[in-house]
Amino acid sequence: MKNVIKRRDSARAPTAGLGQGILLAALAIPGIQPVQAENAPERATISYRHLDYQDMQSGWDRIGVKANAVSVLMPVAGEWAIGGSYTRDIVSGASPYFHSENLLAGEIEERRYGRDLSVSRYFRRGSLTAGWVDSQESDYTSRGYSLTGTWSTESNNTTLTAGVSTLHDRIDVSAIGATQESKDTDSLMVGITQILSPVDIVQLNLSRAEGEGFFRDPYKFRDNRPGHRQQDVAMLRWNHHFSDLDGTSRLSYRYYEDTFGVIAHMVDLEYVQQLPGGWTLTPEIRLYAQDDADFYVDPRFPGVPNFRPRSQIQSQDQRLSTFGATTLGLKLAKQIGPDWVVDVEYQNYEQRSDWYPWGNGSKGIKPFRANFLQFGVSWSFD
Amino acid sequence: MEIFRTEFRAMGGANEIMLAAPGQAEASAALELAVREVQRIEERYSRYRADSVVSRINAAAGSGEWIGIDAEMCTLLDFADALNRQSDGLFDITSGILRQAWNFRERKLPEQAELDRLLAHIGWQRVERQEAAIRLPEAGMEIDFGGFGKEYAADRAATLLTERGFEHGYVNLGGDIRALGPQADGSPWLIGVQNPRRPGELIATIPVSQGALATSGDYERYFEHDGKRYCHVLDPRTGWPVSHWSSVSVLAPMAVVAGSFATIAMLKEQDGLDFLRAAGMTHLCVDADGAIFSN
Repeated sequence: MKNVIKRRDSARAPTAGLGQGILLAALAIPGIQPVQAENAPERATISYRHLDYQDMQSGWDRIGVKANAVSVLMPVAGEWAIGGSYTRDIVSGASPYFHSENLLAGEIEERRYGRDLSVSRYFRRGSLTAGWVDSQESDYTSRGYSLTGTWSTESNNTTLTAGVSTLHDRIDVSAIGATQESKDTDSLMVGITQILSPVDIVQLNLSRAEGEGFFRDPYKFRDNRPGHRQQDVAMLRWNHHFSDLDGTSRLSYRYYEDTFGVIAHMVDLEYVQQLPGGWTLTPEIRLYAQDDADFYVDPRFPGVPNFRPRSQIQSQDQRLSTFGATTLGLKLAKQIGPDWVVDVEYQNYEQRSDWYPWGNGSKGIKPFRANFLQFGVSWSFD
Repeated sequence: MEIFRTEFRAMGGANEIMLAAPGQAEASAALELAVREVQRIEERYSRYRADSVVSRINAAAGSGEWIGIDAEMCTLLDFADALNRQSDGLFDITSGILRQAWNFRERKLPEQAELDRLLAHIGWQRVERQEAAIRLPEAGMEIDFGGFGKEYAADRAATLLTERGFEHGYVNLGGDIRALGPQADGSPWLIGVQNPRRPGELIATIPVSQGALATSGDYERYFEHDGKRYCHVLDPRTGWPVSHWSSVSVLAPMAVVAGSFATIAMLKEQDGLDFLRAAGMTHLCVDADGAIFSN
């Protein structure tokens, strides 16, 4: 008799129960650890996602997005991987002309598409990825390139990441009488990931982006922003695995500031619980607080825009105001056999000026909510 | 890239290493390094060598003398301790003395009194340890690394090769295999699992790209007496051989993990399958009637 047992994932780590202790004990023996540096993917994956996003403000049909995306990841010759995705979405609804007012003026229906392609080469101690990204809608096109490298120490406990990217946007601004404007953004990112223990990983990423060009929103009332913006982001993450529960918590903090004067803090906590039968349940909570741009102008009278000289740097875009926001989310995923994963995710976002925790938020902005529903399916094959 | 292969005897069995290398010179140097590492581990940890640290510890049993041990020995003892705890005492590196009662060449059943005398000397939790020293509290007690020494050697040899940049190959020590990575074309190594009842025949072929595959079986050393099979896998609580499984193969990231899971599943008899399933380990078990259980 001769059976061929088909196992693709030939050396999967144990996922639950008593065995964890044995694996952890074995990991404590020096000099026999499996290579954990980034490995080229062994299997190809095709995924499809559908996203339904809806802004909500009482009395108005605000912006909604319906997006469909297909992505592919293909290993090539063991040391290479090619990834790509194509997204097609429809944006429709109204957005405020100033503050949270006068939405009819900003009503749109717009189709967009986005594409990206990446090529990765995996080495014994690291990887190098080159990426290309492209998106287009009727009045906005964007194209960018990126290069990212990772390098792990001999012990694989520390991984360093560095990346550069450049993005070139072209904006059709006939809405405000001109013809075409552009914006160029160059970014630099460095990061370090450190394994602290078999169940703890921390990561720090720092990035800076320098943008030059047209930052104004031509669909807003008297929106006139500086022609240069520098953005700095620091992000700290800590993932902890609870062996007894077979669950993982992911805690992150993100600090953002830019030369417009916007300062933002974000804390995100999600907990991934493995359940019997291939199910995974992930609740999530995110807290966000933003301090407004230096040139953001509060409404003096509710429902009436401020009339300042057009040439003055100013904005009444509520996205640049001072506010606090929460996101509550729940994701349910199911592994079906070795090849399929299906997931569904719901998030509810709510933003209020008076939720700004360190003082008063911007005045005269109505509360704002958004719902986010996403469905995904992915198929892996050899 | 060419494939190079070497065969050698060590640890009481036939071993092989497969390696994809750019040329003969690189391959020879690397293979020699890996073989030497296996020999080093055998010399240090074999109970059959009078000069090994294990033999010195066993010789000092009951004398009250502490025997100093190095960092590598400490980590191996820590691992043995973890296995003992995780298996509720079934995996016990002091149980090797039972071989004094079981002579698989003479095919003779031991006297129960003889087993009882030996069982009194089994008990890992009674072994005394200090930071860098160990002593066995009673004369007659012994430790040995037969339970995972071969797997540790396979892991070490494979890791040495990986650290030198080799990505394709495997180390096979008497059927326990640790892969460096898949074959040079990316396809997995197809590792045959022996049919426990028909020597020379395979019962399954398992693709292994990375990690390790280890098998524990009742067919390596055994004898039959009055129609019943007595194998070398002995329950440290009773002194008698286990009989539920004829072979247990486990896939894991490291050979020491695969091997110890396979051994513990054998020792747990009918509960072994639940143990492997609860741990999420990929396994192929063949029971005494030839029925196959796998995931």
